[in-house]
Amino acid sequence: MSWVGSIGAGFLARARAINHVAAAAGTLLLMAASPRSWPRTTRMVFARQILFTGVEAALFITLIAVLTGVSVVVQTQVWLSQFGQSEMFGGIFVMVIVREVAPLLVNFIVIGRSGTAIATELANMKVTGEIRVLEAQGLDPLRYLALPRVFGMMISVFCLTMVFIVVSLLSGFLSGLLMGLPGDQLDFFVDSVLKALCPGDVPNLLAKTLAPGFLTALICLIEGLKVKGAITEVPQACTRGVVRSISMLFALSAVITVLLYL
Amino acid sequence: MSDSAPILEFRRARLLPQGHEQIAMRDVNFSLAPGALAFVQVTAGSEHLPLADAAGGVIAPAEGAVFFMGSDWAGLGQDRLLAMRGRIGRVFDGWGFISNLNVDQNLVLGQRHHTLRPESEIRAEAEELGRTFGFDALPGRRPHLVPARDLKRAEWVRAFMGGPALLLLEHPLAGVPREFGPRLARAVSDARRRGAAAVWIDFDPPSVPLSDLAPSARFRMLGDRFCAE
Repeated sequence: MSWVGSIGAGFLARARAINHVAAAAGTLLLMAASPRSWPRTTRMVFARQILFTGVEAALFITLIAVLTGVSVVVQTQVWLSQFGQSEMFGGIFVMVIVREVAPLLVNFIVIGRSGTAIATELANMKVTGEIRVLEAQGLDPLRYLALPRVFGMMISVFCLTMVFIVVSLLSGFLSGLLMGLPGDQLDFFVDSVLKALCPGDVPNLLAKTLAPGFLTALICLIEGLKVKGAITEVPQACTRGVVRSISMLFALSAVITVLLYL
Repeated sequence: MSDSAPILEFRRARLLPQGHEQIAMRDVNFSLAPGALAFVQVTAGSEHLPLADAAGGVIAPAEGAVFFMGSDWAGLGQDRLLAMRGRIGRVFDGWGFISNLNVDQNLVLGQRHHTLRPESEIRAEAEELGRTFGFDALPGRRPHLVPARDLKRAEWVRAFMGGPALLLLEHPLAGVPREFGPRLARAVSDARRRGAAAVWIDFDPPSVPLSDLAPSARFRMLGDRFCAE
């Protein structure tokens, strides 16, 4: 095959993969709208997914948020105070933490923690024949395995991002206070941040948390279920799930930023 | 479906193996009326059959058709197909559990999914069946932590949950101490009296006397041909 042909084949393969994910996403969104798709078994998996992805990750996310808040807020306060531009603090904080860093970091952590778990679990279920066991009992894998995982992950990413923003903001303020930096008035601090927020930040946050959360779970599910039957395919499926989720995350993040702020 | 209509019917079906352990089957042609039991005798090297998967509509035959309770699996919509599978109790050839659920949760999964029965009622039925098959208490741990002999008996419990219309029993006594065999045979007889049909796939001779099972029909494999005896 010529090099032009190779590029074309690669492009077509990528387009087919995106088409596959889009078709699965559409199916799941339609399925989720029907109450019949949420029997008690599916609701139980949904609750467990939120517990695993959201609740159990909250402590780790809090720790990362504290460290990020200290780094970003202190740096910002130090430099802006030196130039006498403390009033710009809110704008920079919102731009860095709220619009970009919080959704990106939380999604990264969720991909590493839950995306890998989903891809590995589903791949192992395929290898050991557990998908067949579900089907033989009349449980639709899409309804029982996919639906609760993608929506559980979506909601968890949004909630964790909110936690991240609040904790990083507070930790940054408290660390600034402890270091005796100027601009340490709480009301000034909060006022500065709130003033910097614009209406576009709401759809930005929703889009950068709900969509990647949904798609990460879906991509990892698809990669896990692609396994044919060899145990050696499991780590490969996991790796593909992570790489494609991260690619999707950055692409989606950039597109949303361009669409909302340009 | 009328009372005399077959529960399960294979019409000149040819089945392809699913995975390297199974063998292909051709000329699968039989029907099971309510209360009937088909004993399928297998030999070492050809003991893994795609028969139960085809009977449950999990795989489609390469040729021919499979009917369950008067409906061709191939013509059923997804929701109806899944609901119909909920009427089938099965003991699997090989691994038959969901690893991230405890064994007792596995046993009630089908009933919780397909019915609106109260949790307490489902649990009570599982415990009652557990006592029938020799459990003091149902195993409440992950399947990989439970001895294989208990897992197979736990599959018996699951197969009889909710009063199935069809029992698909693939090597149901594999790894189970012989003294439990008659309990399963009695439970199958009781289910047949209530109108269920059953397919029992086992080696010859089976671990329980065939006289206890009283099969209505016996089949065996000759190469890839499915033959009546």
